This record gives sequence, C-alpha cells and structure tokens, in this order.
Amino acid sequence: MTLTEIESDVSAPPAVRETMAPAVYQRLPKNILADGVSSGDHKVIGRLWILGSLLFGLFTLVADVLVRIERLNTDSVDLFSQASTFEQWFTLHRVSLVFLFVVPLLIGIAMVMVPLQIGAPSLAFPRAASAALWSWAVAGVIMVVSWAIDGGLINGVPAEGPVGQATQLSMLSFAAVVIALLVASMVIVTTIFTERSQGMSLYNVPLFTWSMLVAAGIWLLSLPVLVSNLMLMWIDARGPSAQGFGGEQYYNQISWVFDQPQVFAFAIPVLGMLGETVPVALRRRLKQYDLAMVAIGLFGALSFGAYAQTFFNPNANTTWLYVVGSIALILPLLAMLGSVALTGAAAGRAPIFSAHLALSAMALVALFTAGAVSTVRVLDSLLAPVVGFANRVVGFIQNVFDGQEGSREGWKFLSDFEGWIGSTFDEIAGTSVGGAMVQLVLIAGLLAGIAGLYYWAPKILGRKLPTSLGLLAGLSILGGGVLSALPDAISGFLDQPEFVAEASQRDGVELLNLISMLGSLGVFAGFGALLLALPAAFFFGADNDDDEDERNPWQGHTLEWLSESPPPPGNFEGPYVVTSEAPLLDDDFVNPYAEGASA
Amino acid sequence: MFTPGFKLFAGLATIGIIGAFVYGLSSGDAGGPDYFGFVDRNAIIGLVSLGWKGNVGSANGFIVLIFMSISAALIGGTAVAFRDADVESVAELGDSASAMPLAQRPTAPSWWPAASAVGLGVLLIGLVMDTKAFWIIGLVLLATVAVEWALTAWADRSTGDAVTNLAVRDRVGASFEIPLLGVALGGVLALSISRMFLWATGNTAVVIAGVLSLVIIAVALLAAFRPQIGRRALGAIIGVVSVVIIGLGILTAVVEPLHGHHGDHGEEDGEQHSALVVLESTVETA
Amino acid sequence: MSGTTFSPTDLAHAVVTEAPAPFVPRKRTLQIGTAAFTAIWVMYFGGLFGAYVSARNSFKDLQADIVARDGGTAASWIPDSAQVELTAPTIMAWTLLMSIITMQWAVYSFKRNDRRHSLIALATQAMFGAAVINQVVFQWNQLGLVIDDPGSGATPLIYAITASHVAMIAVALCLLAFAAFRALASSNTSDHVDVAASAATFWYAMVGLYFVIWILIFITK
Repeated sequence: MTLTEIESDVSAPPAVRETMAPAVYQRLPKNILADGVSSGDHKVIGRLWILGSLLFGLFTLVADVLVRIERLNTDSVDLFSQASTFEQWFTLHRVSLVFLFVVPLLIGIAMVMVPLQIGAPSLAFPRAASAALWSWAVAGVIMVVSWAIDGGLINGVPAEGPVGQATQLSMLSFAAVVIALLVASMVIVTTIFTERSQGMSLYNVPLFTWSMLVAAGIWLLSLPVLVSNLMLMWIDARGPSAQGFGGEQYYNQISWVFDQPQVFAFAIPVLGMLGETVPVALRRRLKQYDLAMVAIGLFGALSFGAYAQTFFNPNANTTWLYVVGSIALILPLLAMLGSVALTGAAAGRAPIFSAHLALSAMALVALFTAGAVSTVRVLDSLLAPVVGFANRVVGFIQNVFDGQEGSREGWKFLSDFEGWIGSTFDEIAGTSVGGAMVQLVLIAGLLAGIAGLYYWAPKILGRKLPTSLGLLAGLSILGGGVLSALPDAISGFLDQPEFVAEASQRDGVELLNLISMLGSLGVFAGFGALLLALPAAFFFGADNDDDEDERNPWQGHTLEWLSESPPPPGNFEGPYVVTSEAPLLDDDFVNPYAEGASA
Repeated sequence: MFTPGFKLFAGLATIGIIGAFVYGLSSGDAGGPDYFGFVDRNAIIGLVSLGWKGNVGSANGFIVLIFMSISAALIGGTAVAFRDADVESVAELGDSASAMPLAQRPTAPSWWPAASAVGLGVLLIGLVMDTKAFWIIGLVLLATVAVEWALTAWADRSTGDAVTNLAVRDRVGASFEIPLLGVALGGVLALSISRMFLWATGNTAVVIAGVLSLVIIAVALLAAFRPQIGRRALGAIIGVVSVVIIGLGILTAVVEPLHGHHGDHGEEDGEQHSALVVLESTVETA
Repeated sequence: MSGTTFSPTDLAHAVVTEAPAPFVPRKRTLQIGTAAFTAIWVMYFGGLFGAYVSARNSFKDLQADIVARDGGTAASWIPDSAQVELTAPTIMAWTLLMSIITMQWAVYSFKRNDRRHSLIALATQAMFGAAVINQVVFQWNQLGLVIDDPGSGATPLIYAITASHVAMIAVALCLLAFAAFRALASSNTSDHVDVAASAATFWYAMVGLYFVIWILIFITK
C-alpha cells in the first residue's frame, strides 16, 4: 500500500533534531507509567533495568543476611523451618545475586551508555531491548515466587511421582530469565558492531564499550548451555516419574555457573570501568590501549566455563585446562594494572580523586582477592602433579647414581609435601571456599556497576550523586564483602560445607560464621547508602544548567560527554566524526554543533 | 584485512579449539596413557575424529568447547565479511559513497514489547499447569504480539513522520483487528450469557433474557443518537456493560446453580418425577 | 490501540499531503543480530549434545562393567521397546538439503527485485519446514518412547533435542514469514535483502544442526 491521503498534524520540530529522533518524542504526554512501559528510548529502558536490578538486589542482600544468620549455630536449623528451606534460600540468593542483580545492573548501564559512547542515537533493536526488560522482570518475579513456595532447584528427583509444579516453574522461569538476558546481550553486541560513529573502528571504542562487547559475547556463548541444562531438567521432570537429570539436587547440574571460571565472566566490565575512570582522573590517554583491549579479551576468553560441568564429569575441576585457566585469569588483571600504572607514570601526578575512581579501584581489589581464592582452590591439582613429577625425576637421578632400576621415592620431604597438598587442598572441594570466591567476584561486579552509576550519573539521572555516600557505599561493600568471604574461605578448610545449614562442628567455625554475617550486614549497609544517594541527588543536588561543566563535569574524553545531562531522545545534535579512542583529547576534533562552530 | 571484531571472535574460536583438544586429551581415556606416561592414543584418535572414534574422556566438555568455537567463528566470520559493519563500509553499499548512513533512531513508543512479557508469563504458568488452555492462551498472546509488532515495524518505515506512521499502522491494522476483537468479545459475551442461563431456573432465565434484551436495545438506541453522545462515552458504556456481563458470567459459573448440580439432569428429572408422584399421591390421599 | 488521534472518518476524508521520506536504517544490522541470535541456538544445542554424548558414554561404560562382573548382555542405550527406523530421519535430511536450495533461491530473487519468485521460494521453504515438523511428530509416535520408562536416560534427552529442533524450525518459519511480509508490503524487494539473508543464515544453521542430530541419535544411536 502506498501512502497518499494522510494529513499530519505534527508541528515542525527543530530541523536538526529530526535526524536523530522522531518528532513524536517532542510531544509525548508526561505520563511516567506509559512513557516508561512503552518507550523506545534506550535511556529509559536502561534506567528501568537499573531500577529493577536494585529492587531485586535489595531482596538478594536481605536473603544473604538471613542465610548467614542461620549459620551462626551449626548444631541446628533455627531461622528456617528445616534444612531444605535453608538450602532453597541459599541457592535463591545465589541465583538472584547473579541473574537478578549484578548482571542486569551492568546490562542497564550498558543500555544507557553504550549508544552514547559510540555516538549513536539509540540501540540497534530498541523494542527487543524493551521486550527483554519486561520479560526478565516478569520471569524474575515468577522465579522468586515459585522458589519461595517450596520450589527451587534444591529438590532432587522424588522417589516416586512427578516433580512438583513449583520446582518445574522454577526451572522454566529461570530459563526465561536467562533467555531475556541473552536477548539483551544480543542487542548490545549488535549495537556496538553496527551503530558506531564515522571513524570509530572497534580499535577506537571506549574501554567500557569494549568490555561490554567481550562480556556480552561470552554470555552469548556460555549461558545458552545453562538454558539447555534447565530445559533438559524440565523435560525430564514433566514425565510421570523423572529419570534423574539432577541426581540428589537439581542445583548440582547448574552449579558450574556459580563456580570458576564461569563466575568471572560476570565481572568482565570491572576492567572496562577501570579503563574509563583512570585516564580521566589522570587527564591523559590510557597508555598501551591495545594491551588493555587484549587483556579484556583474554579475561573474557579465560572466563568461559561451560565446559567444566562437574555433574557430567566429576573430575572436570582437576583437568589441566581448568587448573591452568583458573590461574591464568590473573594475567589479564596484571596486564590491565600495568597499563594503568604506565599511564600514571606518564602523567607524572596524582589522579584527581573521585568516588567513581575509588569504586573502580575497589572493584579491582575485590577481583584480585577472588583470583587469589580461586588459585588456592586449584593448588592441589597444580602443585601435587608438579611436586610428584619432580620427586620422580629426583628418584630417577638417584637411581642413575646408585646404579639401581625401578621406581623410587626421591626426597622424603617432597613426598610428604605432595601428601600434605593432597590431603589439605583436596578436601576443600564442595566447601565454603567456593562460596567465598563467588561472593568476591560478584562484589567486584557490583562495585563496578556502582562506579558506572557514579561516573555516568549526569547522563543516567541528569545530576551527580553525592561523593560521600558513594565512598561510604564502596568502602562498606568492599569491606563487608571481604569480611563475609574470607572467613568462609577459612572455615572451608575446617570442613564447612557450601550450603548445608547444619555444618561443621569444628572449633572456630561458628566464630568465623559470625564474622561473615557481620560482613554481609556491611554489604547491606553499603547498598543502603547507595539507595540513599539516589534520592539525595534529586533533593539536594543542583539543577542542570546545560553548560559545559554540567555536560562534562569530569572532563571526560569520549563522545558521551558531548551530550546534554541528561541527553534528550536522539542523544546528540547530529552525527560525529572521530579519529581516536579519546576524541575530546584530539587537537583536530571539532564539535560541529558547539556554539560558535562553523557550519 | 582482519578487523578487530574478527580478531576477538576468531581468538575465542581458536582458544575454544585448543581448549577442546587440551581438555579431551587431559581428561583422557579410561585405559590410561599409552606412551611416555602421558600420550593417550585413544584420546588423540577421539580428538582428531571429533569423537567419532576413540575416546575423548569427558565428552561433555569437549563438545561444548567445539561448539563454542563454532559459534564464535560464526560471529567472527560475519564480522569480517561485513568489515565489522563500520559505517564507512556500510556506506559503500549505498548509492552515494559520500553520504554516511545514519544510525538507528529511537523507535516510537509501543506497548507490544511489554505485552510480550505478559504472554510469556502466561505461557510459563500454563506449561506447568495441568490445563492446556493456559499455555495455549499464552501462545496466542505471543503470536498476536508478533503480528502486531511486525505491522508496527513495517509502518515505522512507511514515512519519516511518526504520527503519520501511527495512522498508517492503524489504517492497515484496523482491517483485521476490529473484526477479530469483535468476534472475540462477542464470543466471550455469548459464553458469559450461556453461563448465566445454565445457572438460572426457568423463570429466572426469562428475567435474565429480558434484562439482557433491554440492555442491548438501550445500547443500540444510544448508538443511534451519535454524534451527540461522544464516541468515548459510548465506548465507556459498552465497556462497562461488557465487564458486568462477563463478571456475572464468571460468578454464575463458579457458584452453585439455582436448580441443583450442573449435569445431573437425569437425576433431577427422576427426582422431579418422584416429587410429582409424591404430590399426586399426597393430593389423592387428601 | 496505538494512541493516535485519528478517527476512521478523519482518515477517510484526509487531504493529500507530502510526508517526509522514511528513515532508512543502516544495512547489516539485522544480519549481525541474526548471527548473534544463531550463535545462541548453536551453543544451546552444544549443551544438549554434550549432555547426550556424556550420558550415553557413561551408560555404556556402566553396562560394560556390569557385563564384565556379572556376565550376560549389555542393555541398550535407547530402550529396546523403542522402534528406531532410519526412513523418516533420512527423508528429513533430504528435505532439509532441498530447502537449502530454495532458501538461496529466495535470497537471489530478493536481490533481483523478483517479488513473485521471492514469494514462491519462501512458500516452498515454508512447506519444507512444515513437512519436517510433520515427520518429527510422526517419528515420535513411531519411536514410542515414554519418559516414564526407567533405564538409560536416553528418552528425556532425545525428546529435549528433537523438540528443541522443532522449536528452532518454528522460529525459522517465523523469520520466513517476516521476509514474506516485507516482500508483500514493499515495491522493491531488493531493499529488504537483509531480511531474506538473515532468515537464510538461521535456516542453514538449523539444517546443519539437524545433520548433527541425525548422526548422533539415529546413525550412531
């Protein structure tokens, strides 16, 4: 059909804006609900992702505190009605921490900021992003409710009869949550590939955008395997009596997602945030930009963990790929740190202190600590074969000198050392050492998300967030996170199982659990400080005057700082041409839409 | 020649292949290594034949890594084929190489993405419940969303004015939406009225029929007096009447019917016959 | 329904006026998105195939141990009560091979602005897809597998894999429907080659995955 007879009543919008956003956005009624639900503006969609993640985050952190309170007494189950209820809440807390809190928070920030950083008016598929958002929210609510009503994945295959409906609904809704996150990842990847400004190749994209490309790519490659696990469990569960894809507990089949190396995939944006905030604080380009990009890509590749499913291969976490890959994760972190250090040395002065810089640094500290714990977990698989091999070589040499044949124990202390490694570190499999590592990684991801909120608050919210509350939130979350994780790591060596309520009876475990619980309260308090910061910015912050300081309060280097705070629909006055990764530092960069610029 | 997007995903594919071989070799064959304490012939044959012959040890991890490299290669191959979709390379596809194509603009507001979430929720709940109707409703909702979304996306490309596009969408969509909605509403109203009649006894059913007839006549008369009565007011009246009828239909479907149990008509007839016999016998006795 | 203020009466009596030219989105966007979407499906099947092979190997190893210890014959991975015929899967394989040709014909027709042949090719494609779905349902009845059957665990895996493939075919048919809609609703199909090419990418991936299923489940059992 051809259009011939429609009369338009639209009043002519400013001509230059018409190229960047439909005129309908100029005339929308100010209805927050309708605008929010139906909006095609990526900033609105991103804000809703962030809001949803913060609401679920509140629930998640409350669950964390409750679970740790339960473990204060290792003799009995006090807070929850029975041990299985505790395990349900423990696993719900862990699932929601990843898929309802940290990952959606990072996705929300990416949805707002990636188009701004690449100079685009919108995401590649705005309505798909909106559909992903609402599907995630609905499926998330169904998942939490079904988990809470005696569902969840902690139940195993019943002795007879079908699997309960609440459990089946938990499986399906969990799969739907993951599919929604996959659709959002697909939108981010496509946007980064197809909506960049002229002159901006992927070599020149900002590091946060690059880190989101790597993170979304790894999520696209690993999370579908989780969906396949869940679908297999559900199809099995639909039968009159299930075959047993879950064994004693269905959670076992998906536990690889919450184990190394996969869990590190949820912290890839930490490196991107560091790469954004440090150069701005030092007022210069990041040195070895290519090295930083390679480091982020390598970190992403090493964090792919869908192969290490211990349900199908109980020895998966002792193979060379797993061990070497887990330890090698530290290398990209060091490379990133090196790039930052070189930049600092070249700047020749201290960085300008800000909340977002501090938060990015705290996120890196948490990630390094998590890396250390992950290395401890695989030490027996690494050291024991090496020490054993060395001892056999020593024995062989001794045979040569003594003119003997056959196998021979070399030095006794090497044999004793090999035995000690095996007996000490082998027993920490399935203990709370794993939980400590997961906690630290996700704390790192959370801190990176908060750093992003603080850094880009002028664009996301239209005003800066209070620095004091940001520092308080960061210190409390980092301190609380370390305080909650490290005692778990120690109590793992004292036979504290991962998520069993009635746990180890060894001395000291309850004291460690008490410290861990206090740490989780610290994390909760820090999150509360963040929630206070958001309304405080609106009640006590200054109005936006759209001058240069408001557009670019941190003297940032990338394109998002050319837009208003907050940006209107369409983001920019028009398209830009860039020639480097920090266009605002280029001498030859001209903003054609600045006041006084020539046409 | 090789774009950075290709390098990233080709790197992931290469790491996947190497990882698969390392993993398959190190998880090994149950028979153990054959040469030099670590070379496992069966495992090597399994790796080279991609699991067809031999034994790769942990097949699950091996296959996942192989597929990871295939998926990454797919994205990387697309990236290098399209030069990472750089705007300069996309511009070469157009009529004028000097005109850089504009990036995607924000789309006009639309309720269909949120509606898809509702359909998804209904589908999820329906799939675990024993009744088929729920998940069929969920599928119908999702199919409706897909059709409407496609129509809206097509209309967005008809002109450069969003208001005009909305009018175009309505013009094309109304041709099937209004009849379908009318049929659906009519069907639901008919079902509700049928529930009311099933609930009622003989005299009550006559009253219900009379009231419904009067309501329909009243609405028709109101419609005849348009445009004095505005479209919105008439729509509101029809909406309220429909909601009341549907509500009464639901209510009468769940409460006990006036004449006893639903479906026990044989027994009811028998009881009535026996009641009549008792009455007749009572009269005769009297 | 969409918030517009126009009434049907207004539209019927509207005045001819000039509307601005439509915004043309950048090319390649849909194809990059489809590549990412296809990668998700390929990884999903990778997880299922890994589980299938791993479970099958474990079962066969267990049966070998039992036979070595107790004697007798090993139980089969696919229950003996199931009737595994190769006819239907092979016909499906040939159907999908033919569909590759018709899919490429559709893309070629889109490029040459040949709307008639575009629609014929897409319709033929849809017919092939529907035929394959029909074959799968027939095969489910023929196999006679019941999830309730105790034993190897093959049944839920086979259903998970084959049902997921049916879902993938359904999604591919939806993409074909979108391509057909674009062909019908536009005057130049060459402006919409991206849609046809995207549908083709997804279709070829679906065919490739079917061949893996064919070999894994029906040939090697």
